Amino acid sequence: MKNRLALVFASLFTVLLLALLVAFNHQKPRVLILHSFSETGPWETAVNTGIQRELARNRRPIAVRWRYMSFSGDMSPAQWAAAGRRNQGAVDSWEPDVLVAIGEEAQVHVGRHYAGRPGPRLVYAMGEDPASFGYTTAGNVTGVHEALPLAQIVELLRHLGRPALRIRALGIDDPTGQAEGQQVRSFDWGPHRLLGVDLVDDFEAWQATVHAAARDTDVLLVLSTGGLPRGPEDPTETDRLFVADWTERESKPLAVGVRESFVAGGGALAVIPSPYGLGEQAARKALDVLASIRDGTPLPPPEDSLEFQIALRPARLAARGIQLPALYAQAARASQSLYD
Amino acid sequence: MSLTQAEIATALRECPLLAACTPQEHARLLAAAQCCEFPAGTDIIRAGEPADHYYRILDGAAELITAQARRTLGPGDDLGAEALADAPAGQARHLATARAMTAVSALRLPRSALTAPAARDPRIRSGALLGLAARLGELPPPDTQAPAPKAPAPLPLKQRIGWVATLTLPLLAWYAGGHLGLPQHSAVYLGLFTMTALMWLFSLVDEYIPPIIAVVAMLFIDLVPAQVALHGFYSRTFLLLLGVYALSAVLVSSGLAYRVMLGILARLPDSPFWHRSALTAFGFVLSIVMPSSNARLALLLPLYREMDDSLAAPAHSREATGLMIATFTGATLFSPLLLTAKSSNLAAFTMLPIQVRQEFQGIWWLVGAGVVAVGLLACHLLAMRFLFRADTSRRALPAERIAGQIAVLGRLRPQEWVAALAFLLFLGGAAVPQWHQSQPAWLAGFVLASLLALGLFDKRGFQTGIDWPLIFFLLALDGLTQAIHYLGLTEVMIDTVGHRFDWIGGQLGWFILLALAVTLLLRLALPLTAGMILSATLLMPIGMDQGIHPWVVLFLTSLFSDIWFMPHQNSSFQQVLAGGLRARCDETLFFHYAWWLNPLRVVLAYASIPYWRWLGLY
Repeated sequence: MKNRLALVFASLFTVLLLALLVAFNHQKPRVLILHSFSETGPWETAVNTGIQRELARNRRPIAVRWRYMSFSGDMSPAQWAAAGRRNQGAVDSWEPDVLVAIGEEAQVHVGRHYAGRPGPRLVYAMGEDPASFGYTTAGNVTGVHEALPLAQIVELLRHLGRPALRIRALGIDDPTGQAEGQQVRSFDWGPHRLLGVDLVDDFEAWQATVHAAARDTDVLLVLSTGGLPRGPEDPTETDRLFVADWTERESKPLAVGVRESFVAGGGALAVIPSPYGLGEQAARKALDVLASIRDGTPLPPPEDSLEFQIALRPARLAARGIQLPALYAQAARASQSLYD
Repeated sequence: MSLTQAEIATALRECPLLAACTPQEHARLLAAAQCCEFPAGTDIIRAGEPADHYYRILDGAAELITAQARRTLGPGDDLGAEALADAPAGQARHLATARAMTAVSALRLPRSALTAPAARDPRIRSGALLGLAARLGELPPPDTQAPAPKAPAPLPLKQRIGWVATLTLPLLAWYAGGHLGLPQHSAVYLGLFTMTALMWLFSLVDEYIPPIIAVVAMLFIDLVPAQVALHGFYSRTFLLLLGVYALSAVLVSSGLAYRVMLGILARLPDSPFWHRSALTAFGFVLSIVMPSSNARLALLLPLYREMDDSLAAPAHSREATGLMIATFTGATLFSPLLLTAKSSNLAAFTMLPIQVRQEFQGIWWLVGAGVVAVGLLACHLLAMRFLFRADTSRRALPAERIAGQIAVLGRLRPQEWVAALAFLLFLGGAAVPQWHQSQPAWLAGFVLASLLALGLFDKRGFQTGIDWPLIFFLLALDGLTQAIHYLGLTEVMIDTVGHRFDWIGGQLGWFILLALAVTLLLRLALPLTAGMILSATLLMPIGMDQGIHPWVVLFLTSLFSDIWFMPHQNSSFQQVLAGGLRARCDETLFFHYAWWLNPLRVVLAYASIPYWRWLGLY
């Protein structure tokens, strides 16, 4: 670069290019994806796979950042509050156009702070009731409610060959269990009959409920088991895989899970909301929100999750003398949730 | 005499010997420089003692005492130039004694501080040693003043227009793209592509730089993910290029290439036809492992000069011109005929479907190009035989000298053996991949690793023997073309052209015409590599849509991208210009020959149709 004029031109070109690229990056829509837990969790990983799958189909340049509230599930309320403040700070400083909050804790500590306020549009993805966070009345919120695939469970029960079954749901008395219990209660189980939803405080109560169900129940619907204390005096969490194995072995009624961990721990059968599908739907919703911002149209409406997966342990199912159509085993194999 | 740092810095800057030092070197010398005082009668340096310091007299007078004479030195003179000699520490010794005649003040620089500047700029060392030799030989010291920098030439009008266009048109393209209904990402790509093409068109920077800028810009704004923009860097092409360049560098540096050239000359009959055939044949051999016609020409031109000097054909005669044409054609003729003969072949190869790549990565490229290869070679050899006859009074090649040159080279050295084995391994592996059951690219990688392990291709060779700018150019171009597919622009292109190419109707004859038109048009504006790759990018989806075999599409773009009419279209021509084309050859005859090869390429492409049908490629 010997010539001074050439140097001037080249410098001008470099500065102009940098300015344009930086300006482009500044005007590029921003999406912040906030998870409740850590990036290494299997559920979070599956949700992220779904998000990335959907984002890979997008060609319009957007800036995407990922944040995780917790590095472990074992956090005190003060630590959760601090994580919430940190992540609110991150949202405020980066000023995303869309905040995708995934999981209950992300709503409690960050998401609901932005509901009905100027700032980012909020896309939630969770199993809890959006109304409990004030989302239903907020104009800047939409999202995907993780719906338990109860209709698919009813369809599956047809293969048991009995016209009307007595169903009981068992879960933990916490916000997740309450939200799941509410879904179970409000679902039309016909021609079957829902005997009730039992939400327990600890594993001892869980054991008692499972044994009691033997008296009047044909199908025990096992809700989420994460965070179940061992007993009234021992708040330590019971290993969810152990809970699954124990329940499968001790339950006289057919136990049907709604989380993959139930079959992973030893359960025979689960029909579960697909975390991949939830991720895809949440990302699609975020892209739709960006399009609505761009076009000046209203936000897309909230929706329930659509995708579900089958998790199966054929040996345990056979031990109960139940034979499902091969389609179920192949569906489980396809979603890598067929356990030997 | 005590000097401030500013005064020492001034003294250093005024020292003619150090005039060529950079500001950074001057800063470092300032840290090492010391001001010394020598009372009258003391020795400043002594003959035979280690020359660890260099002195520049600031004040006073000293006497330089040699075996033959004595000489008085004063302010501005230097002492101890032996310290700049390129000898191991402690072995550079003073050749004379210098004694202070009065109190002497001198600036002292340690030998260690001078090593780096002297190594960077040989003028510093040679200036010091010439001065020393002159002083000992009682001659006036040479003028070591650095030449005044030349005023830079004004920026050519073409480049001024180019810069203005590059600063404005990409923005216009981006803006227009958006307003013509292109999606945002396509409009941005259009802007970046326009920038790249303009920088090529007006030669604003080296050819390899624009695609690197475009790839970095794409990454900067997340237009495409890294695995798309940097696709080439983890493709097999990367290792294949490295292996081929390493092999090519070792063939040259080991001396094997020169030995083979001399061997061919010594064994062939001493007639103009065979001289030219030898150059052509050697060009072919080099084409197997040297993916650059410029590199091949760089190797052939010295041999050409030796032959031309020996034959002493009259300047601008048909014989002299024939020899230059044989050199030029030997280096360039085989470019489209072998996968490894042209870097753009390797780069565009990744566009082919995987199965086609596997089929054509070995000898099958040459088999597929059979008719064109035979046709081009036959026509070239016939032209060399009959169109460029030598007169009867021509001189013979000095067979005795060539034999002497071979004798000087001696027996094959271990490096040459290894280079020959590596060449044969690569050649055999590419021709018959069945025996190693792997990819030629991985074999090239093995060759590279072996040459590195054997020390034949050392760190310096790795840095200098591989054409890194070209590799980055090709891989960045790959990223640019991959982005076209990722952003869905191929579909946009096909949708845009719609049914406009239905007239081809799957007929190869019509497609050849289209390939010729597209490639020639792009080559008018773009350099060879970029022109061929972009032609292939445009033609591949159209060809595949028309049912044309993808390798045929690629081969046609490679063949037609070698067509050139104007000197700026062919960098190899610039090489032969610098190699004495105008001084020795009839330039008109040279151009006529090069131009006649152009229609021949087209005719041979058409002649290949029945052959390709027979091979099942059409």
